[in-house]
Amino acid sequence: MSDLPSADTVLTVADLRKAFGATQALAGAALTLKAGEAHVLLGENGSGKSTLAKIVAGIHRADTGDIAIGGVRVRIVDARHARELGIAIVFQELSLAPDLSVADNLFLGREQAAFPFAVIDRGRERLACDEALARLDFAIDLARPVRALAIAEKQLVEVAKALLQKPRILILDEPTATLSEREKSHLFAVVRRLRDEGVAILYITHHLREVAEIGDRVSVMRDGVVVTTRDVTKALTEHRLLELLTGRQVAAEVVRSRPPPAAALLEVHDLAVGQCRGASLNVGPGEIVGLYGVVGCGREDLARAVVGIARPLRGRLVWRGRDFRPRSPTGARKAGIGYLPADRKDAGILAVRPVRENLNLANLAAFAWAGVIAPARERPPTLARLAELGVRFRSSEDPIAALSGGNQQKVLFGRAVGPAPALIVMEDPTAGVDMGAKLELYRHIRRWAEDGFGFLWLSSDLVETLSLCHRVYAMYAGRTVAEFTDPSLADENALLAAVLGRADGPRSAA
Amino acid sequence: MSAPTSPPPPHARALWNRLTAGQLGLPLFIVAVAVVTGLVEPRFWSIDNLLNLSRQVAPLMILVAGQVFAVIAGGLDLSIAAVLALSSVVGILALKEVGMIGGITVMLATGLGIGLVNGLIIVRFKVSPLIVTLGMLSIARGLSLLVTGGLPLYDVPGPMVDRLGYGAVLGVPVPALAALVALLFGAFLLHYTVFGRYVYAIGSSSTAAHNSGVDVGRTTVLVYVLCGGMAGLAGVVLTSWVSAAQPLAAQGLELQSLAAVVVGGVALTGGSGTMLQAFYGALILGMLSNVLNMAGVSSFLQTLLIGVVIVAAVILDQLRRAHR
Repeated sequence: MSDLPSADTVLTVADLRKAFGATQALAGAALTLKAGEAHVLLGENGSGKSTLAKIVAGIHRADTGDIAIGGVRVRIVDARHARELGIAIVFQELSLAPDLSVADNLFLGREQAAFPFAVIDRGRERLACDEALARLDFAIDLARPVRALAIAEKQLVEVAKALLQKPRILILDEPTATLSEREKSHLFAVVRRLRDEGVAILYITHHLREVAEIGDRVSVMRDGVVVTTRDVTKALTEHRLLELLTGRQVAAEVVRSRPPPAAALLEVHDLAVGQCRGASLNVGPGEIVGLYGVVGCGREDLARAVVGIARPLRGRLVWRGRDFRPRSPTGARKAGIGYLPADRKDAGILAVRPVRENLNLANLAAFAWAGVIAPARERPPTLARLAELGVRFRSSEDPIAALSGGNQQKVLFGRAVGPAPALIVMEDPTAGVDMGAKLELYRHIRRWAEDGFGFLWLSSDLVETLSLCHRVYAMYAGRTVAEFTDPSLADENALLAAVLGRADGPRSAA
Repeated sequence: MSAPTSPPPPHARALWNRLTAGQLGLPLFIVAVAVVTGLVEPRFWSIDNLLNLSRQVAPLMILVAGQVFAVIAGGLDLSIAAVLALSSVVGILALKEVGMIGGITVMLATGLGIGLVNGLIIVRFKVSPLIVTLGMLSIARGLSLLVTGGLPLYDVPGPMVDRLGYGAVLGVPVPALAALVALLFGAFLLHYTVFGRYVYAIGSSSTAAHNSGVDVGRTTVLVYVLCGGMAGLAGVVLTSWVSAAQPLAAQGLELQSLAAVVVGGVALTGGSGTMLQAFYGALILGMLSNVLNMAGVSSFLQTLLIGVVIVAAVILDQLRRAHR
């Protein structure tokens, strides 16, 4: 417990308040940040942690409250001002221009030129880029457009962009949401190095596990206030953190039940598509099957072939015993395959449309007669389904963008299962979702699995994959290299070894 | 829940928000313009003028009923005015062979057919609707000039002019009735059908719609077929009303239809907006030109003033979004 400002305190935030309309996002939050520490700001979505970060970074302005940098009170007017004060932020939602190259993005807004029509000194920019990327141990072609990068690569570009500012305070807002284990440990190494160089790191997350992995101190936020700040020690268990986070006693994890053996719903034989170069797996009814691998292993391509977005070059898909070649998600849906895509913001939600329309998009046939939708038939089941999913919303007519990430994801989950498909393919369904919403999603998925639905589960979260799935396939370099039946956390190292292509891992070859 | 330090929003602000939220603002504006014009120029409220106004705005209204689909789906259709002219001349040429009903059918079919071509090209080759329909604008205009040799066709049958152009049902002119039917039909499609829901979904995020199993291609094609069909219908109405099929008819009406949609408050980015908003927008533009005509404002100045209204409407729309 070290909340008193001391000589090495670089940032002091006191009694910060901020309201968005009727929502009080911050209700008197206080925090101190010291040079050379990695300070984890832990909170569920909607707890106000991102708002706090955005105020410090000059994106939002506080209604009231004090901010001091290095002991001097400041009033941060905008993002540029924050940057001048040595504050850099990496956003949870990426802020890259998709059509510009990596190099141009790194310098966006800070081009090495003094006036608008000055010629950009690309040579100097390149040197600075190379240096920043080298600090990250991240090799990438600077000329590639950001559009062509994987999400994890975009994330690293964001971090590099922040590093170019040589910040005193670096704020990372849920940077690992889309990273795989390897990329995550890579990022953590970078964060530790920066910390040792004296940078103050404010690391925002809702992953309990990351507290021990990266934090020196942790502040827990709930309902717009920092409820406690503690030194990270062995005594501070994840269970204790979860209780601090949710403000209630938490029961131990549910034990999973095995589905009865049955004929496979989906079989994939030696499939080649995109970066996937010969993968085989099967999913039975009532089974949650994990597919785990690092970025670039080809598992997304496999999933996209199953749902009809990508066309396989070679290999067979067998659906309920018959050869299956879905030509589009429409076709896959008709066959009984639902899909929950990663990249909720761009490929999932219809941001400006109401929650109701977002929920029912794949399921309109249930409310329509000859193509005409009867509002009276749509509303009651919509409200019932939203309640069942535990979505927190004000009105089902509000745009979905007004909901928190976790609640958006619950709606998208509802959309994917709405037409009652037999198999649901899920890409990173819990990315950027807070712990409470995550536990609810797990509960829903287990319940749907018990009802006989099959799940193909692609997650970047190793722990969640091992604890939720009935079986887990490890994918490496486009191939399924190992299969773990009834996995447990004890399989963590074996699975990691398998997906990193080390020979000592596999328990059984697929 | 409210912050202790921030004052509650004053009632004036709440009213301002209501006014600018598009639910009250436009109808009030329309009423205000009508009242003020009536005071300055009593002839505005004469039955004759109102009937005339309703005929005048009918082609624009019908085009807007199609355009709003393209805009909400995240695209736009620049070809509709040229398609209107082409439908009109092709229909009148065919009419000599196939009779009046046949000729009207040919007009509608021409519109639908060109809409289908637009839609198929946009979907098959994944090209921007802006470019495809811009090209189609030129193609349709060129075709109508070619088949007529550049001259208007005046052989519009009398019954067509009398019954459709100047006819009335229960005192309502047939062109106005056609516009009303087009708008109501469009509103029904947009707000009460699966197709309409998909149009919003595609405009909001076509990737998300595709991923959810929406047949984005088919829906998009239907949107442009609808636009073309409306252009054909507008062709029937305009031909009957002016008693001529002109290859250069309705020039610039495609831009006016876009402007009407925007003035009504439909976002050009797609995904939102209603048929009612589009109707208000078309009514404002149609009324303005009628009012300015009566006030004896020169057509040069009229063009300029309508431009000012369009830009002002967009700024107002932006302010409204920022307030939310």
